[in-house]
Amino acid sequence: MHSILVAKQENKNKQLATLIAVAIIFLIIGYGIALLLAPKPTTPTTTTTPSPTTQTTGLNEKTVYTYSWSDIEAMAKKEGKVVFAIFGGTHEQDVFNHVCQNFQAKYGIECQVVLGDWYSTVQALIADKQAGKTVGQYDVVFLWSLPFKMAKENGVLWDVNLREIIPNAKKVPLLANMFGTDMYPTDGRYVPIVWWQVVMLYRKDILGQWPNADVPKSLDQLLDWVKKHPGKFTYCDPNKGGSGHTFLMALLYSQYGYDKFSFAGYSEQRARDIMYSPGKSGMNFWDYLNEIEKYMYQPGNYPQGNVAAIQLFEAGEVWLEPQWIDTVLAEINEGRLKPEWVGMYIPEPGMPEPWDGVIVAFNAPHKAAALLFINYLLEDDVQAYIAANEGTFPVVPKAWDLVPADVKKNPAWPVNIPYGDFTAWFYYGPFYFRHAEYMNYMMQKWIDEVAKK
Amino acid sequence: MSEVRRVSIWYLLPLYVYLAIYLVAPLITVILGAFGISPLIQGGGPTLDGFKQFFSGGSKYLESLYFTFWNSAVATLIAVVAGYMFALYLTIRKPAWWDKFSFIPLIAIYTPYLIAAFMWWTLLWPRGYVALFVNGVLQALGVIKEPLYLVNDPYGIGIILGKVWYTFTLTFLLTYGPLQLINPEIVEAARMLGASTRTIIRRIYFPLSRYALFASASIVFLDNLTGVSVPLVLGAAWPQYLSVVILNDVTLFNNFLMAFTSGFVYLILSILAGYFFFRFTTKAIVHQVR
Repeated sequence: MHSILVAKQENKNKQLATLIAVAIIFLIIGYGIALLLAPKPTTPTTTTTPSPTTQTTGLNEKTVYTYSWSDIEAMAKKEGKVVFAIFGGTHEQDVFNHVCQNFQAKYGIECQVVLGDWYSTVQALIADKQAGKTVGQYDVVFLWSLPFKMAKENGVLWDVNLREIIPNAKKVPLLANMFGTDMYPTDGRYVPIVWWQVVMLYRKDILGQWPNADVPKSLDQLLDWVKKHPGKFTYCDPNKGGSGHTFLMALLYSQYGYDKFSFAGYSEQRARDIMYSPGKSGMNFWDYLNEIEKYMYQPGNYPQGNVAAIQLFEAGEVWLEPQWIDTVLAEINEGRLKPEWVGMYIPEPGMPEPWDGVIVAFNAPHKAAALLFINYLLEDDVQAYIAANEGTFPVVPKAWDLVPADVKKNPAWPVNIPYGDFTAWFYYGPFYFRHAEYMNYMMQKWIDEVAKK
Repeated sequence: MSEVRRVSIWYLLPLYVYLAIYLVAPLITVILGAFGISPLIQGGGPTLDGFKQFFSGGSKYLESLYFTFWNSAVATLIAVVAGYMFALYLTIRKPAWWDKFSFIPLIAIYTPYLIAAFMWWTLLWPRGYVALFVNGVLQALGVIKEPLYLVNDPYGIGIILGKVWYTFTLTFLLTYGPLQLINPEIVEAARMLGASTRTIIRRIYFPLSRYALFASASIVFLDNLTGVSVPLVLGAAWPQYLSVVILNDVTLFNNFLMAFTSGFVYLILSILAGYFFFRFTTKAIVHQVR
């Protein structure tokens, strides 16, 4: 009996030892793999090694500069296909499918739109890079600042100055082309195709017609307005919706001045120094937001996204909120938002605007077709179509004139754009960008300093 | 090594490979990432910074973990009590309508969590029917002056309601079966000896089904603890579930170190909770069967 017990105990000990040994082996293997895959001190973005050419053309990072545009067009036709990865919803898919079909009809090049989410698309490119996959699945990828930064830092952009190659890209304002990604420098590896705009949405039927509407025409007047109209203002959780964090950046700029942030270097210390110091209101940024919160709709309860915020407006719960033009336009077109309720304006000193755009993937199988397609996206009529159907401003100057008059009459467009004329605004500015890193800091601190309090 | 043992190792090799690739490798990735070793962490290298940040005083991660735990526990408690009571009711009363309508509770477990979450959001948001009804009744009775926030609220009421909706069915299904296995003659004997329904529940049904109840509670608790869809849609700006914090760290802030660290802590707690419950319940069930 005793020997059986001893044998059992020994067996258990053996099993335990085996288990520990296997765990240690796996840890060592995992550690080794992690070390092998860990990023090297030099980031891959600086690499200028030409990638292998595509199967059908001799286009790479060096040779692309030597070809004329007509050569590239001919190569694109030879490649015969372009794959455009987009993010958004089915509406964006419909809009870009339409654009793609027209491109196909014009050039005879097959055009495929792939709807995904930006995060997965960039991760797929990074995985391709790490696996050494030189011919990938996407040619043109639609991105915004954060994924662009991820893509650039991981070296998955085609390392070519697109602005220099693509004729229509030169029509995009240089500043927006280079810094429209929330001031993160693009080095021309990114071309904006849409100009999103957050504005203030207000109840026109209650607060009156512009310019006599009872609204805070300047962001400096917002606190007084919310005190006068308690429970009638909201903004969405900045970590759940772009209208929230874009509005907070506008408020930040109004409190501390745009100059403090525009193209400024970033450090956490500086961000803290600014946001915890008294602003124009005499309060630091967080106290100012908490003061506003006291008079907001259901204080402390923030709508969880752009749509959740506009639903409160549609239900008549709030009278004023920051909102994207495209969201308002879509809600009116879908019949959920009464157009007679809708007033849209840009408060002083302005609302920042992200210019989302496209890159060419480092391993795009059809690089010439990708260049031709981006050029097509920047044609005046295509830009007008995107603007009218997406509710964005065009990124090339003459397109606005081609937007149908009935679309422009929609109340979803702000009534007080600078100069009262889009073309003048386009040429003379101001372009008001968000600073990605300060915005990132602000969004994280907002949880600690506003949501948690 | 004996021939039998050698052969069995070869036969089991696919299983070992499967376990290594699908189970062990992802876990190791998370563990290494928590210590700063991952290609996804810029300038990564062995570090304990993630843990320092996670466990520092007033850390949002600790608060989030605390909220995740208590909110999941409350949702579990409600679901388990309600589900078990329903199972008991069906077992004791055996209503005639049950055969026809027994599929209805199953709808909840066939509904994807995300859809369930959005469904509840439309009912609970300030102009949702449930919110209007609840607030209307409470205001009419003079219990409250201002309407309650039933969704995206700081107490996680929306999350609890959303979770209970489907875990109620889960608990009911997990306890209903074992209740049916209880020998009806015991219940019959008790009745003949004059026991009331309450006594029968207390002395017969509960003791003979308690381990099934504990097991279902553990499954429901782990499910509540680790889910992301419901807290993402029905949760507030703060406090957030740790799963939502991880999602934001990865997709918004590109902070993989904290995402891995939170994931590691989450994993340890889930394993501990799972181990505790399952070991306890398994032993108890074995004991009960003997």
